[in-house]
Amino acid sequence: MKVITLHQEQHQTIALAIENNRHAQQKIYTLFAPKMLSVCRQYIKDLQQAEDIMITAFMKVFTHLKHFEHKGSFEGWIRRIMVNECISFLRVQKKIQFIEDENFFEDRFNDIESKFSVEDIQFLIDNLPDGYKMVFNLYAIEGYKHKEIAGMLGINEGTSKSQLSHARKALQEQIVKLKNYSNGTE
Amino acid sequence: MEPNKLENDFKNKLNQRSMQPTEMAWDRLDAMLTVAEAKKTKSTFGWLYIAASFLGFILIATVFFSQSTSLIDLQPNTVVVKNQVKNDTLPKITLPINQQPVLLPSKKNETATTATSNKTPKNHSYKVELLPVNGDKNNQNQITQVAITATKTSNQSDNLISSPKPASSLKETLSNPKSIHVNVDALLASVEKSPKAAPLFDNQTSIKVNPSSFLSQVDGELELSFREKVIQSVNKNYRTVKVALSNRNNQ
Repeated sequence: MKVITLHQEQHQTIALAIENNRHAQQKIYTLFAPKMLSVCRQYIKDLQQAEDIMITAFMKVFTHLKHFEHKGSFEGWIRRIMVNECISFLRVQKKIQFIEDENFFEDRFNDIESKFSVEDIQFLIDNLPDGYKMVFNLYAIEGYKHKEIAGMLGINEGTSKSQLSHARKALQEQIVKLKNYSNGTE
Repeated sequence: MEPNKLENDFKNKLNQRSMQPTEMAWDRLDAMLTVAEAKKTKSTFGWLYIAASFLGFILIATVFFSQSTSLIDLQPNTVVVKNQVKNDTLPKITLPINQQPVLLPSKKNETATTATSNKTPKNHSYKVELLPVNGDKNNQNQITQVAITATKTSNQSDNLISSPKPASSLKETLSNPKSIHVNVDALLASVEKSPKAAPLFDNQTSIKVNPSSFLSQVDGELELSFREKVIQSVNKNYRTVKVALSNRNNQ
C-alpha cells in the first residue's frame, strides 16, 4: 500500500516537473542527485567535473522528462542518462581510445577475496585506463551486456570483451600491489 | 566472462554509495533551467510573430486588391451616350428630385437648339430615362440620375412633351419606371436657362479633388497596366513556344 502511494506521488511529481514546476524539479533533484553524482564519479576521476556532468545530465532529464513512459524504473532512466552523458564527455575529451583487440583470456578473478572499502574500490577503478574503466563500469557495475556496450561505445563486441579482460587483469595486479602495500612487503 | 564475486561486491558497494553535491549545484541547475525556459518561450513568440506578420500581409493584400476592384467598378457609372450624329458623349445630368425640369414647348425648343448648337438636328428627339436613386422624395439632397440615351426616333415629334407638367404629375412620372420621351434640345435649353439648374454646369463651381486619392488611383492604374503588360508578354511567349512545339511535332 505504501509502495503504491509512493509510486503515485512520484507520478504526480514527474507530471509537475514536466510543467516546469521548479519545486517538483528540485524534489526530483534532491532525491536522486547523491546517487547520480556517485555514478558520474565512477567514470570521471575529478569530482568537480563529475558534478558538472551530473548537472548537465539533470538538465537533459528535465528537458526530456515528457518522453519518460513510466514503463521501467525512473531511477534507472535517470541513471542511463547520466552514464550516456559521461560517455559523451569522455568522447569529447578524447579520453577513450579503444584498440581493436579481440584476444581475451579467462582470468582467475574469482579467487581474489574482497575486503575493500568503497574508497578503495574507487581508487582501484580510477587507476584503470579510461577505456578499461569504461567497459568495466558498464559491464560489472551497471550490468550491461557486451552487445549493448559495443553499441554504446561504437566498438566490436569482441573488443568490449577484450577490454574487460584487460581491465580485470589490471585490477588484479593493482589489488596484489595494494595488498602487498598494506602488508608492508612493498 | 560472467560477473564474479569481486565484481558483485564492487557493484553493491558502489550502488550503495551516495555523494552529496555542493550547495551551488542546484542553483546552477536552476539558472540553466530558467534560461532554457526563456529560450523556449522566446521561440514560441517568434513563431507567433511570424504568424501575425503573415496574417497582416494577407490582410493588406486583401485590402489592396479590394481597392483595385472598387476602382474598376466605378467605371460602369459613367454614362455612355450613343449619339446618332456624332459619338459625342453628353455629360451626365443630375437633377435634384424636387427640382422640376422645365420643359418648354416645341417652338421654344427650336430656338434654343439653334442658339446653342447647330450640330444636333431638330427632328431628332432623345429618349430620357428618369431613374430615381432612392425612394425617399422628401430629402432635398437626393438626386435623380437622368441617363440620356440617344435613340433615333425620327418620326416622333417634339410634341410628346408639349407643356410643362405640374409637380405631382412629374412625381408620378419619376415613380413610374417606364421610360418617357423628352426632347433633349428642349431639356438642355431649359436647363441652361433655368437659374436653379445653372450651378450644376457652372464653370466657376469649385471642384474639390483629393490629390492623394487621385495619385493612388493613378498608381493603381499604372500597376494594372504593368501587370497587363507582364501578362501579355507571358501570353505572347507562351503562344510562341506553343507554335514552335506544334511545328516541331508536325515536322
